[in-house]
Amino acid sequence: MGLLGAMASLGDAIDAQLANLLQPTHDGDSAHAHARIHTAFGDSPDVVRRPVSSNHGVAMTVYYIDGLVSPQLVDTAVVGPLSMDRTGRAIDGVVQVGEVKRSSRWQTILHHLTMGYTAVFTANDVEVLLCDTSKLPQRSVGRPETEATIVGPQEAFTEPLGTQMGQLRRTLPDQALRFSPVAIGTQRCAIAYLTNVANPQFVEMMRERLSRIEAVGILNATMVGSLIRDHPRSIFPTVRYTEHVSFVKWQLLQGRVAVLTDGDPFAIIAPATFRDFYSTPMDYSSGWYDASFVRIVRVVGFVISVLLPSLYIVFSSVDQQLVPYQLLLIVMGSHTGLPFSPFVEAVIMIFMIEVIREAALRMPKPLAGALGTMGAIVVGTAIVKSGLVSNQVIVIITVTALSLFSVPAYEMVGAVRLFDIALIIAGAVFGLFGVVATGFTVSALLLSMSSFGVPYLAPIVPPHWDNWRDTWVRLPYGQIEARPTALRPLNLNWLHLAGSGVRRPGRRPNR
Amino acid sequence: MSPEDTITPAQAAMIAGIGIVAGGIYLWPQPTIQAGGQTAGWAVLAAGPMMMAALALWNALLRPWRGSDLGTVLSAALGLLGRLLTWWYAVLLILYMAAVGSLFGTLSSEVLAPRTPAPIFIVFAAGVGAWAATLRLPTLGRLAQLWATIAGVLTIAIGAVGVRNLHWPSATLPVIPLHLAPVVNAMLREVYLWVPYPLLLTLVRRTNSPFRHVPRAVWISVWAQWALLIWLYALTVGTLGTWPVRELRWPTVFVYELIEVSSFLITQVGVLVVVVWTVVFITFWAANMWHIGVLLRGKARAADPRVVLAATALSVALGCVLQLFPAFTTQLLSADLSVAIALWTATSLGCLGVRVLVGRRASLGS
Amino acid sequence: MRRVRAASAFLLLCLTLLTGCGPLSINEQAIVLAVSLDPDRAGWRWTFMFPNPTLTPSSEASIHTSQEFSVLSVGGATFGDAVDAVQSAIDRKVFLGLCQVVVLNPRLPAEMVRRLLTTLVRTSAFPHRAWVTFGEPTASELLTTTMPEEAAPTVYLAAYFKCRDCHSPASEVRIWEAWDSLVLPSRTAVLPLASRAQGRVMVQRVAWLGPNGIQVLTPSETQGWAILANRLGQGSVSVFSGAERFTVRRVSLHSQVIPQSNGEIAVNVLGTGTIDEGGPYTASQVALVQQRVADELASSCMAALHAMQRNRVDPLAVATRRSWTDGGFPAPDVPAHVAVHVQFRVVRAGYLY
Repeated sequence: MGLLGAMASLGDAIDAQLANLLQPTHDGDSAHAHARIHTAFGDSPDVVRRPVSSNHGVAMTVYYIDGLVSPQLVDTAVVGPLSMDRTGRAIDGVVQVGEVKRSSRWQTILHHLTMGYTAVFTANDVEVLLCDTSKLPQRSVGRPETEATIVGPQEAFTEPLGTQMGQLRRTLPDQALRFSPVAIGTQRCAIAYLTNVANPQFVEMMRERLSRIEAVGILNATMVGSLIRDHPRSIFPTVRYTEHVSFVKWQLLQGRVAVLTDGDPFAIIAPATFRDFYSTPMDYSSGWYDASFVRIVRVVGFVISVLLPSLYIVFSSVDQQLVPYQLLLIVMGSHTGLPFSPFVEAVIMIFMIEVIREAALRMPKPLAGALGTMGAIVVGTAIVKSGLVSNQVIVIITVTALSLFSVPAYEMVGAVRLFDIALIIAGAVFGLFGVVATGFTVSALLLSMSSFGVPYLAPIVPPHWDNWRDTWVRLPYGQIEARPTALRPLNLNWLHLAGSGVRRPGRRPNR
Repeated sequence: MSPEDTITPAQAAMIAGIGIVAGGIYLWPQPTIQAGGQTAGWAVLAAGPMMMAALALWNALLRPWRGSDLGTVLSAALGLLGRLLTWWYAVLLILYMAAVGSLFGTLSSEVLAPRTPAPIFIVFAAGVGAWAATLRLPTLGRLAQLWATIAGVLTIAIGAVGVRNLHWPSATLPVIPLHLAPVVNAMLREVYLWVPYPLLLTLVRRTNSPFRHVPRAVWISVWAQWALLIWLYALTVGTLGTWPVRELRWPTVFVYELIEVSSFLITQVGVLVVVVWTVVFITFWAANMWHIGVLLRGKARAADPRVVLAATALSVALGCVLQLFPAFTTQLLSADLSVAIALWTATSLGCLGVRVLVGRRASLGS
Repeated sequence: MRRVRAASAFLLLCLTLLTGCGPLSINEQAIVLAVSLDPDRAGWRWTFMFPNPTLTPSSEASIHTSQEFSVLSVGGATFGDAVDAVQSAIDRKVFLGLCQVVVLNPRLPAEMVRRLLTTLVRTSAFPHRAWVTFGEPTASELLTTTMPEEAAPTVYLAAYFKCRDCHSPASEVRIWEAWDSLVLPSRTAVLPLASRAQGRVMVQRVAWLGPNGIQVLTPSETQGWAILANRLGQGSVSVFSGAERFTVRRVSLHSQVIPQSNGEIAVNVLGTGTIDEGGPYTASQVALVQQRVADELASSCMAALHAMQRNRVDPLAVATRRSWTDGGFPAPDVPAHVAVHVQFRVVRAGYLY
């Protein structure tokens, strides 16, 4: 009987615990609260529980997660004032922190605990006080590592979302700048846009796509970007990532939308068309002539990186009659006695360069330098002497590799590299016909793509002639006063020069 | 029609440009010169106005009826007869595509890769073209915009380098006095170039400009195609003279092959044009297969992939057979198909004319 | 996914179809740089010139001139037979696509040359832009002559003809141009004649390939033809005025051949030149030189026109030009009577002007 009775009381206790756990809200019972928090976090030692009793004899319990909060702030702004309070006011007015919330929902309470809030449970009170005591462990604002500029602003985003918003707000002190918070599970993001410029469709589309994501955990901005981008299976990127604050500012001013992700200093910019991956922050901080020249160099670099190896293979293996005979004969002379065809040689060289690149990325810096030297010896000298590849192939593939890295946005480098390999195979199998047909197919794929409704090859195809002033080249600012029309901004002009737009640099005023 | 299904007049013009005249580079201007000799110049000059007159007539007669393509408009106007005319045209177009495909395959296997048989080129290019035909119309429009511009600029620019080969500029001038019989004969032999012209009548119904008007860009497209034909004629005849043109299989390609730039990575830049025209051929195939896909689907707006695939398979099979009989293909293209499309145009316009008259009389009576 | 599968199947089909007809590696090909044709006791002797396949920029200096190119001579009734014969004699695939020059023996029958040019134009694998020339003493000897100023792999004759404004007369002609001239109503092609003398290759004469055979012109007739055809370039003319010899340089001529309705041909030549050396000259001296030069030029033109009459050829394409306006295919125009009028002016002489 005794055993049965014990089992029955145990069953009641379990039922009571379960009932407590299934409660969506706090019922005012401190023991229940403790059980619930214990169930949520287990025996994690960083969950701190501190009983506090005020001068009025009200029993309170404070919970916070060590490491996420500032202990000084908890002591001086929450625990101290609560225990010293003699006024008997509502405790909301006693605590001295920036943000105080009240909630009885367990989901909210637990979520805020993980965000560095301190939860104050008052005996017999169903509402819990949530005080923002979060500590933002952050590094100092640094320079952009991936988009270094020689002149112009040098500020890169840092990881905390609040800091990112602050950086952007400080750079763009405009009332029209809005941050629209979006939570992906526990991940906090914010959509940044200018209300008087960005097309509301983009903002809505971005919000809708972000809210569609239901994930337990998000690792970084790239993950968010891949979940919201168009054509996720395409090798060509349709959103751009940047850590450059002033570049994000420029993109917002142009009518684009940015997504800031807590914990990742890279902002996602959309819409991003093919052309956007060939512009850099420095294009807008150097002289127009320099920026224009560099842009042309990048276009040439793109053409070289895509076409040079495939055309070399085509001209040396299939359509030999198209090149000057002297050049072909010298290529032939260099190949005499070598066992492999130009195609196989190119494949060997590409593989070598990729292996060296990958190894150099993974190794510590001092070792990477040594690896580079070793790679140069292997690629530059030994491979020729061993008869594996000819001199010309080394030149061609090295120039191609260098051209590849003239692409400013790293996410595009991989796409161009794969396109290049596809063309090499097509050229080796079908000759010039194969290269052209593959180029056509890829162009058709690119033309069928869009980024947030903007055609991927805009403003080149379909042509927006006015925007070409800031596409192939970057003309003086006076001549590119229009925003990209493909973005359908609410306000087309970003620049109004005094004198109703008549005066432009280099033009005479009307007489 | 959803807004994304429409294209700009410029895109319509580019699709039409690439979908019509691109088939002409292979034989042009040989059949016309064979028929008209030195009077062929008159026929070349008449080619553009002839097309524009036909287009204007179509535009005027089709005005009372609505539809998203030529097939639905003809059905609306002529009922079953309209469907019959649509099918008649589709058969003509399949034959035309087969003939042009066979020429493309033969040319590629002769000029680009002598060790590769012609059917490989036909299958590969038509396969890619058929895939492109199933893309959305705006994508097709952009594709045409991109490649028509590249191919057009390269054709004209590299052709301009070949101006130094113009040994007989006076040969391009039409002979005076004008003799009508050879000119008419020569004109009839160039009608084949315009076989896909009904594509224009469908495309103007897909533009985002006012419905009943042919946009200015489309007129410009016809002018541009005519200018390109004149340019190719002048370049070929001015370089070789009229008699050698009759002796060659691919006169225009031959003339482009002669162009070289010695201090350039690619000396034979003329051949580069031939290669670029490969892309034009693929787009040409895509545009016309899209048209067949739309015409034979009835009231639907997008091209039916099954129809596109079937039409491509039929054209490719026929093309592979035709490439074995080059003389027959030339005859089929320049003579039989020229007559057939002229006959189809006359029948269709005649029927529509009667229908318009009957309609007008009925409205007067009521 | 279905689209991806369909695309993969399509690519696989194309790759399968292409198996076996893929390209040949560059080292599996024997690149023909020049071809020559000579008559032989047994028929025709074709000589094909190939580059040394081990030639690289670094090895150029160490390779002896005689090893820069190799030649292979074969017999054959037609060009196709000759290519087949060469093919069976070497281990590589003969590649004609980069042939630079075709050298023909002027003693060949005209019909043979005509047939060869037609064959070459109709062979899509053969570059129609290659130069064609007659060569003596034999075509093959000319083919194997190398000059110190050109290093392999450049073919000397091709480099010579490519330099358009360097030589007078400018007689270079490409295969398609020669063929074109033969198909047009005039049916006469003019080919340069390259000769080897004292170890050098010179191109100072031309030969006419007409319906009645091949006629090699004298230097004076060649000059006359060059004047009439506006192919003289920037030549020089030497004349004697009394005992003094004057060389007029930078002679620039423009001639106009006007066929008359009565079958005559009237030729008007306008020209200018300079006398760089000597001086100062008096006006009367200059006038005398002008007259002498005009006489000399007129005499050359007459020599060429008489050669045209004698051989019944139309190298000035008079009949061809007539056909553009008439619309028919007239017979080659051989003038019954010719009249030449030359006006020549010295624009700068010594220090006088």
